[in-house]
Amino acid sequence: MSDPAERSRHRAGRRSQVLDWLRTHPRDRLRTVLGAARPALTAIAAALTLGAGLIAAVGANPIEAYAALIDGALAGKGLHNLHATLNRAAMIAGAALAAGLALRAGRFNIGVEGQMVLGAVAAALTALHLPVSSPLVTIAAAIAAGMLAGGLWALLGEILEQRARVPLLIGTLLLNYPADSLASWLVGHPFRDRMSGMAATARLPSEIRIDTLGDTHLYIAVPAVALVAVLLSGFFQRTVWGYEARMTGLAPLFARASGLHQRRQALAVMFASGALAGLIGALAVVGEHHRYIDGMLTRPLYAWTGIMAVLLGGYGPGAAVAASLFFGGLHAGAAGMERAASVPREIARVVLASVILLVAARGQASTQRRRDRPPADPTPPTNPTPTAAATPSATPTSAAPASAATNSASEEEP
Amino acid sequence: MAEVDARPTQTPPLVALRGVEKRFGAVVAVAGVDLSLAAGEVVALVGENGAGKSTLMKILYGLVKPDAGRVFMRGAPLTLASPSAAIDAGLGMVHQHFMLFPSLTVADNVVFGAEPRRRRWLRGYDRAAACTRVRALAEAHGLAVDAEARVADLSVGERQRVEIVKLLYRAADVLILDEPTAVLTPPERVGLFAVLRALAEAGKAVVLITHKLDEVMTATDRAVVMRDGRVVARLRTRDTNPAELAQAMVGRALATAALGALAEPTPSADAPAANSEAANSADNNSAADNTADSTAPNTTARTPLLTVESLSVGRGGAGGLGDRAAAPTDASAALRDVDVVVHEGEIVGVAGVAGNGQSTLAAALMGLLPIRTGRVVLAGRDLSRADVATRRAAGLAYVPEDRHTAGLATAASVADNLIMGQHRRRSRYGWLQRGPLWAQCRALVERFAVKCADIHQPASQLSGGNQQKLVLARELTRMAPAPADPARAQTKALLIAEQPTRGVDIAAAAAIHEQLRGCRDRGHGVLLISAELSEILALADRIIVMYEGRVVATLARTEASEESLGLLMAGQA
Repeated sequence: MSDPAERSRHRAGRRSQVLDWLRTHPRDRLRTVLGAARPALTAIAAALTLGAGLIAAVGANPIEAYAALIDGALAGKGLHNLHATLNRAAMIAGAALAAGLALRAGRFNIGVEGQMVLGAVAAALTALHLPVSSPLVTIAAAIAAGMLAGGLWALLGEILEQRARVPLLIGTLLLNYPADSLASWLVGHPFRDRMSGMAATARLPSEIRIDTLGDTHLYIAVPAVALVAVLLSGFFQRTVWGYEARMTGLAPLFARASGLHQRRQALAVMFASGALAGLIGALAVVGEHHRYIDGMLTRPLYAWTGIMAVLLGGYGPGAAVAASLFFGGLHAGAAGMERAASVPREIARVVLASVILLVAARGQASTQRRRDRPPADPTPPTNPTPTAAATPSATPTSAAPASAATNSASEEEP
Repeated sequence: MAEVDARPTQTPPLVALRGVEKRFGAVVAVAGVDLSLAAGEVVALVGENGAGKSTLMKILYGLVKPDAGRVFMRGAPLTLASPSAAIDAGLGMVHQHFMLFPSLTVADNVVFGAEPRRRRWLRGYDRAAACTRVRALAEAHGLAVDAEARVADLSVGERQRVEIVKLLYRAADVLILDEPTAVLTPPERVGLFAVLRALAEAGKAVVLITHKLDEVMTATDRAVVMRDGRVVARLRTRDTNPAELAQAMVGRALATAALGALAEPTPSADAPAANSEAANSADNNSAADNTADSTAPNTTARTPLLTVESLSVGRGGAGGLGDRAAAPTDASAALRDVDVVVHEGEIVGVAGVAGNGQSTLAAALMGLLPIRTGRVVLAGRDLSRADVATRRAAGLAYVPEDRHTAGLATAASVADNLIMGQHRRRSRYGWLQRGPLWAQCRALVERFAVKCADIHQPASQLSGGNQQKLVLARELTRMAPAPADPARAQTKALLIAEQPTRGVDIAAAAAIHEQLRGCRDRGHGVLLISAELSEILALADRIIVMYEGRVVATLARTEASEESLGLLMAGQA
């Protein structure tokens, strides 16, 4: 029940920003966009130059290799590669959203991988063994089981911190190992599908699979993750709990002095973060592999790439998704580079890592500059700033050049 | 007003800034400032928050690079790329927050970065030589510090002297002190000024950045007043007066009441006549029974609102959630058997040198620290074991000392900061009703005269005074009983205001004082914790003095003077 005058003022503000933007000369517009995106672009250019040297050193043609990288990320027959990029990005973004959900509330959930894995196993076993005839109910139950498993696993990390004073960072990290091992054992021994010859569960019956969308190669995870991103951003901006979580993440002492129930909130946040990770795992089973295969979520490093994406891209859902797309594209492109230009996988990985490092370096540098800028208040910057990772001050970096560009463009209007 | 710059001398001034300019984005922090400092003078640099004095000094100290203008040292141009370059050039700064290693000795701290080396043994650190040189330096300048003492064991005043010795060790010719007296007792302040005078006479130039006009008057030779990034007045101290200085700072004449609170230490001007409260005896335990007979303004019956009985808190309380367990302020001091009563319609001032338990008291009252023994009762309700939320719901409100971490989420918007506490009242099925909430924020920003471009602007972009107004606006709104809550409609609330005007300019401080008085006049209670004796004397109806975690005295305002409080604060009574 928003006040209509209020709403129109909001809209008018946004509209006038857009109008100001349109009124500027196209050349100036281009200049502001390029100016804002320049750090990211120079970083990428520098990394690609470095990579070109490496590629040439192993005897391949850098231009061909890069063409293969772009082709591998975006083109391909019938947009096949683009869809592969999106599928991969959806998994990364799902992990990024799960980690980002916790980070925004000041909780460092580094155990996303274990939660995804347990979510996937729980979903697979539920789908295979639930004695219900309705496929729809089975799918819903499988997804719910996956979310529950992931959520409880993350909750365990938070309980360990609150009851046994195991730092959350350590607790969630260490809980990855038993989760992975448990999953390996479950699908390697009691629930192994002996026919397949792999450490994997049996395939789901065809009626409890979710197919690719229409005639694309996109899995259900792609629209699901997009929806989750939208819902999360609404949650943080518009709900009581989202507001409280955001305030706790931005200023824990302020939140505490304001009387927010931080212990309860931390439990809820960690459960939600783990449940989201579990959902991604469950979707990978129901909508992609149609079984749980040992290592199917850990080997592509979805969770770790997602955590990296959220640390580089900022904790907001939009930025996390943008960074995940970037990483998804790089991964898919590197695979293409290996195939088409016969650049060894190792070199492809070095190029990939140097792009990420240089983009990160630029991002950190610009964050640092912003922090050095004295605030309006003459407090010397002496208070020990917690580590960048633990400070959820939104750090939109170059990993999301598009949004950064539009923001600063509107700020720079005279 | 007489325009004066450095004393006319044949030799070039020690330091000269010419046409220095610095802008941050669209904000001009320093706009073409010329400033000369001569050897042998103490210069006050005064101005409101955001006037540019800190930025100017940071430029001089090499922390900030100017966009235009030059710095000359003894007539030779100078490039200050970093603080270490500034130190090499002979420029030194004592920051508001000391930069010392508490676990090291005084000598270790002083020589850090330029340690005397042994001749042999891999040219290691020569601690004995360091001690000798530090002792000699301290003696030569009349700075009483023990070179071998650990900094952690020193008082704040002694630590400040260590900082000054540090600069002298680095052969600084220009000493910049940023609000050096904020942490000192009155006697320590007098001592500091004597040291500064002696340093000037030894040929140094001293810059004193300050808000306090009485300090300008007593300790300096001339004053440079900045406003909006420009120097608006250069005054010889002996030819000016606090009113003229204040007018130059603010750009207009101020109400005398506001000046009274900040420039003149004695509160005679605006003291309500009818304050004849019985003095509390030195026996603290009688404080609770001592329902005073004075008639504070606008109250007929003097009902105790907050009663604190023999409250004890351990050193550095802990409890859960890792780092968040830390109290929002530096509440490391323990509390021992503290009794406090705040009546409805009363401001009780808590005086004391920082670190003597005042912050701990505030944190314990808010439920941020676990209490060991004792009781906290608000309006008849025992809150001793209640959590923060329950205490706030019962009518406690809190303006914390550290507004940047505990008072505000500076990275969040003005609106996000204002709705804290209201957000659950104005929500439906968990959804924030943003229309009414934003409308309320706009109203608050207007009512409290918070200067901001938009309520969705980050709070970090506001000046210190406006940030503090934001905190006060939220807390006063939170403590007002919700209209829909008849259970609390009659009850009064208690505001704990900790250093409410620290780092805030004169105009904003006056506005904040007005709000605190208004709060009292509506029948609420205020517990005012302040390091500014003038502030306590101007506002409080009753004053308690804390020393080493105890309440050492309870005084009616009429019996208190800056001198008597100063002695009590130093534990000498």
